[in-house]
Parts: sequence; structure tokens; C-alpha cells
Amino acid sequence: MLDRAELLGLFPEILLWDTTLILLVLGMMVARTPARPAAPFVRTVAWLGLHCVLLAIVLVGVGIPITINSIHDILLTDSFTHCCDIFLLVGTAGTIMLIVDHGGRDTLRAFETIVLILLSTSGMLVLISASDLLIMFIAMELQTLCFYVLAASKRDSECSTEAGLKYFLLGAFSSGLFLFGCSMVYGSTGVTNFEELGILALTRSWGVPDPSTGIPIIGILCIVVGFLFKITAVPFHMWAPDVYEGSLTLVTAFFSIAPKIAIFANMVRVLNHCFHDHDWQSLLFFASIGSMILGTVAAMAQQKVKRFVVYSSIGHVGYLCIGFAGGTTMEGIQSLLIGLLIYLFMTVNVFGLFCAVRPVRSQYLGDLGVFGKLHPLFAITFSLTMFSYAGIPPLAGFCSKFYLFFGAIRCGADVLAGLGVVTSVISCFYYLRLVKLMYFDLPGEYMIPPRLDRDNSIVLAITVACITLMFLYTSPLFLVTHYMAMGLFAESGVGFSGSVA
Amino acid sequence: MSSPESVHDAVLVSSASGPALGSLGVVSLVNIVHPAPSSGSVSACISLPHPSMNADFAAAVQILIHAGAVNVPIPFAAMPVSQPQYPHPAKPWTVGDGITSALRTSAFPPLINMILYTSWYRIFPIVLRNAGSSPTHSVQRIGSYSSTESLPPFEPPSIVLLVALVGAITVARREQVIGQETEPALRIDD
Amino acid sequence: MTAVNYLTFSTILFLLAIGGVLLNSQNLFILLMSIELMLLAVNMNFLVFSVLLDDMMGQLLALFILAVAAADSAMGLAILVTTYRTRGTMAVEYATGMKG
Repeated sequence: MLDRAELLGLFPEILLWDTTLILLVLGMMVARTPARPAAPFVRTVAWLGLHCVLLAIVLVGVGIPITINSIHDILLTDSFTHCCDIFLLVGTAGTIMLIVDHGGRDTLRAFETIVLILLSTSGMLVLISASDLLIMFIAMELQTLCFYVLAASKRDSECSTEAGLKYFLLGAFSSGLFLFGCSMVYGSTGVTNFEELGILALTRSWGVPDPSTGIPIIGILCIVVGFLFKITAVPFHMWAPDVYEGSLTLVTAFFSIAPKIAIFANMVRVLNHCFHDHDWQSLLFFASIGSMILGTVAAMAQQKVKRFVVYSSIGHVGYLCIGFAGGTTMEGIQSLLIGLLIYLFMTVNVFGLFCAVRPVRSQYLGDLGVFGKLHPLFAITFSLTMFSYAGIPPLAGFCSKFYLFFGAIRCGADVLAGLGVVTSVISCFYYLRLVKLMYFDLPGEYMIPPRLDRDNSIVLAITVACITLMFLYTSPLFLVTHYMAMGLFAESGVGFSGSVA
Repeated sequence: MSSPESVHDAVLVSSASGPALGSLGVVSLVNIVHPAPSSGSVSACISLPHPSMNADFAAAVQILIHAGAVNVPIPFAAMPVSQPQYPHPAKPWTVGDGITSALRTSAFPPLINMILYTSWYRIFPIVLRNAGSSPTHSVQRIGSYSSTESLPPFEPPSIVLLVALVGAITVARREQVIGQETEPALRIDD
Repeated sequence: MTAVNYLTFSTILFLLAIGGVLLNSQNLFILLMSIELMLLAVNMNFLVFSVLLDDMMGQLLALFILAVAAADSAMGLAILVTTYRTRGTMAVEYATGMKG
């Protein structure tokens, strides 16, 4: 039965589940009446949720040296999952800090938003530790179900409900495809556990007597297609711009930050342990090329702020997929993790800035001209983040792109590295155009920029400090990501140095 | 499977034609009222072959959940939101429709080819199960696995159902505008 | 041979459901029902493989997928009801308000 040591791996998730249950009961007890408006209660729930997430970070941090193989290898918590959990929880904490003051401004009227954010975070934590096809699917469904509701949460807005509808339809479709792949893999091998699938994959014939059959290959391809849907890689990105634009800005912030970490971590585990060096490399190759090109080209034509950020994040997903290019090598995974952490900081920063200006309803890029003149700190922060996105040294974005391209060249994927450099140069154009809009152009209509709230400014200060000062002391970043990659490879004992097929 | 081969094939054909025809009806019938019972018949008929596969528990659960909890709310939700539809001429197929249907039908022969030419009977599962004292009835086996080996996959679906409950209420409830005076009898506490 | 028949049947169902999702131009409810059909076909797949391999995990998988599919459809219905409330129609061609 359940051992106490096995439950240790589930403590952060159990904390989040218990907290959400308590918050739900609290919400039902504190019924809304006209005499007692909802706004202070939402802020209370948001603070409680934030404290819960910080406690979860402490719980995960305490358990870092321990590797736990839970309950017949269904969940696996090692150093890789611990550190990815911390990344995810830090991103969630940053997002909730951005939400807290908005609860105070009566823009967020339902406390269930916070509850659903916590529940989806717990689903993502289980997803990162998953070591079995079944629990991976269930955790992914838990996460995406919360996201469907979050996308549709502003019920009187046509954009928001359409965003929820599109997210639901395409998300459920991709879950169905993903599950079809899982069924094919299960049917041809008889196992669902990642470790056992990895042992079978080493034989290259999947234990099937006649290796000419393609059933496991179809399964792997369907699973990878399902993953590419979730990380919004080309050619499965079509739902992302509409969904991200239509949702509330706070919800879009959460969508851009949290699931990428969880799904990339799960992808790394699945593709490294189970399907090592099989036919998914070419699919990820083309997804990476397509995402980089589309993210660069489409972002040039955007006039609205949120669609611009979506396309630039699609481009970044393309850069991150370069880490998968050489099969699964140590350098590739390490550069992927570095890129993921730096992407986390940059995205939290960008959305912190956009959440701050939400009340003045600036939707278009042309409205940014106000801030250069009237709000210099905002303008400097924004410029630094844009330079970091563009990959200009010595900021953190340059560091992440450098290591991604370097890792690609080391495994022989010169096409990816060259294309990455070219698209980075092209993307400099539209990132610097935003800085120019802010400093040198007159805005479409003048408005008084709002004062940043305290929690918002704390988040912005921390992330900007990390982005600008990372070049001074980069060794913690490299040590942590190296530790994570070592933990990943030490588990399976397969796949030390692959190369591009 | 204790029935002879021909009877088994007859059972399979008759129980497979139900879902196949029903799903054809779901995707191609025009009026919103008609696909709903065909979807229900698909769910009901698809659990017919399950007892012959030693999955009687799964058959019962399938009828209860899929036909009951999934298919019944769909007409209930469809009734208030659909307008009376007048028969309109079928839209001509565009190039996109042609390409999609060509892709869909061309996926069929390679899959069937692979299914036919895999020697399914020579695949053995790698994981060894304890031979001693293993219950034979499917319900007992499912129960023992759910509480011992597959406990982590058993707990999160309860959270998934909680999310569905909270989410459906959050999304679909009637908005109560704060400050608006409504009669106490008509006020909905959400 | 009967295993092959079962698998053929569930593959036909899956491809029909995908066709229903991609080629649907009438009503959003049909999209929802096609998605449920997809999950149903995959369920059937798992059960057939469970019998073939004499492995209980397939039945367990099918049960959990059933529970998750029910939750999915409840969520989808709620979102469809909200869409109808704000938009007033359930036709698919009106679901392109934002530039694609």
C-alpha cells in the first residue's frame, strides 16, 4: 500500500488541493450580497492563494535531494521535477501577484478564478512528475479543463466566450488525438509506464516480432502532435492568437507563462525516456523552423498588443524546440531549460507591464507612445524587456538564444541555428520598433498612465533585475539546469549523445 | 469468448452497425434534434460487445456515464438555444472540404493495412503480475488495481470532476449584478 | 481475426469523428458530439487492446478516460450555453469574430 515516503512526492499537490477545497467552502460561506461586494473577498482569496503557492515552493525546495519513485513507478520525482516545479510555482506566484490588485479594483468579480488557477497549477505539478501515460493524460486534462473555464471567464464579453469556445474545441480535439496515440502505443507494447517503454524503445522494434509494423510510430506521432498543439507550435498554433487575445489580460498572462513550463518538462521526459531517438525528431525540427518563421513574420504585421505578444511567444517556442533538435542531448536539454527560465522572467515582466496599463484600455501598439513621455520607469523597463526578447547582449535573452544555437550547432543542426540567427535579426526590427514607438512617436490619444500598484511593481522589479543583471552572475543558472539535466539522464541511463538523423 | 465463431461474428456485425450508423448520423444530419438520439444510440450500442471482452463493469459504466451523463444533457442544453430551422439546400463542397475528406479517407487504408499485417497474438505485456490470489472477476480486479497500483491515476479524476462542477457553474450561471435590487424570491445566490 | 474487426471498427469511428469535427459547418453541438465520439472510439481501442493483451490496465484506462470525457462534455456544454447567451446563435460561421 502507500508508503509515507511515496506520499512525499505528492505533498505540494495535496497542499494545493486542500487549499482549493478550503477556499471553495470559504467562498460559499461568504455569500455575496449587495451590502458586501465581492472585490475585497477576491483580494483575500488571491492573497491566500499566493501564500499557498509560496508554501508549496518551500515544500518542493525541502524535498530537492530526494528521488522518489512513487507507487509502482507511476509518479517520478527527481531533481528535474523538483526544479521544474519550482519554476512553475514561481511563475504562478508572479501571476497571482499581478492579479491581487486587480481584485481590489473590482475587475475580477469571481473568486473562482483564483481557485481554478490553483487547481490547474496542481494539475501541472502532477504532469511534471508523471511517469505513466494514464496519469499524464489525466493531469493534462485537469490542467486544460481549468484553462477552458479561465478563458471563458468574462461572460458578458463576446471575445472572451469565443476564446473559451475555440480553446475548448481545439483543446478537446488535440486531447482526442493524443489519446489515440496513447492507445496505439499501449496496444502495440502492452505497457504504459515510461521506464518500461524506454526499455522497449531501445530495441528499436518495440518487442514486436515483425518490426515492419508502424502502429507504435503512429502512436508516437499522434502523441507528439498532441504536445505541439498544447505548446502552440506551428502548424498547430491556429487557436493561440484568438484565444490569447480574447481572454482577460491576467488570464492570458497565466496561459503564456505556466503551461509552457509544464508541457515542455513533460515533453522532455516523454521524448527522452520513452521514445528515445525515434521518428519524432523530424517533426520537431519542422515545428521549430515553422514556429520561428511564423512568429517573426506574423508579429511584424500586428497592431494589437496581445496578438503581438502571442506571436512573439510562438517564435520563442520555436527557439525552445531547437533544444530538441539533436535528439536528446545534455546540452540540448540544458539550453532548453535555460531558455525556459529566461522566457518565464521576460513574459512575467511583459504581462506585469500590460496588466498595469489595463485600466486605461490601451489595446493598440500605437498607444504606447504615452509612456515614453509621462512614465519613464515604465518605459525603461519595457525597453529592457524588448531588448532581452530581441536577444541583445548583455541581457538574459541573448544568453538563452546563444546557448540554444550553440547546442544546435554542437549536434549538427546547422540549419536550425542559422535560421534562428536570421529570425532573431528580423525580430529585432519589431521589438525595437516598439521602443521607438514609445520614445519617439506621438500616441494616438493622450491618457494619464496609471500608478503601478505595490505588488505589480515588486514583480516588475524582480524580473527586470534578473533580466539585466543575469550576465554578472550566471553560474547559479547553469549549475541548476545542469543538475536538472543530470537528474533526467541519470534516471534512465539511455541517451547520452544523440545526433541529428 | 465461449460462443462459436459465426455467432460471434454476427453479434459483432450487428453491434458494430449501430454505432457506425449512429455516428454517420451525428456528423451528417442537418437538424439539431436528430443527431442527439443517434449519439445516444452510439453510446448505448458501443457497450454491447463489452461483456464478451470480459469488461462487464466497463459496459455498465459506459452506459451510465456516456449515455446518461454525457448524451442526456446535450439535448437539454440544445433545446433552449436552438432556433427553428428551415430546410436549406446543402452547401456545395469547397476545395478545403474536398482536401479534408480526401485526407480523412486516405488515412484509412494504411491504418487497416497495418492492423491486418501485425501479428497481434505474439505481443506479451512486459509487466509481470502476481499469479497468486488474483481475483478473476473484472470488477474485483479493477478494484484491487485502483486501490493499490493505480492509486495516483484514481485520485486526480475526482479533482477533474470538481473542476468540471466549479467551471460549469462559473461559466454558465446567471450574472447577479451587485447593487441591483431584486426580489428576495427571485434572487439567485451564486 | 475478430481483434482486427474490432480495431477496424473503432478506427472507422475515430476517423468519422475527426471528419465531423473538421468538416462540420452547421452547428456547434455537432462539434461537441463529434469530440465525444472521438473519445468513445479511443475507449473502444483501449478495451480491445486490453482483451488482446490480457492486461487489466486497458480497462482501467478506459474507465478513467470515461470519467474525464464526461467532465469535458459538461464543460463544453457550459461554454456553448454562454456562447449562445452572448452571441444569440449556434451556427459555426459566426464563431470567427476575431481575426483568425
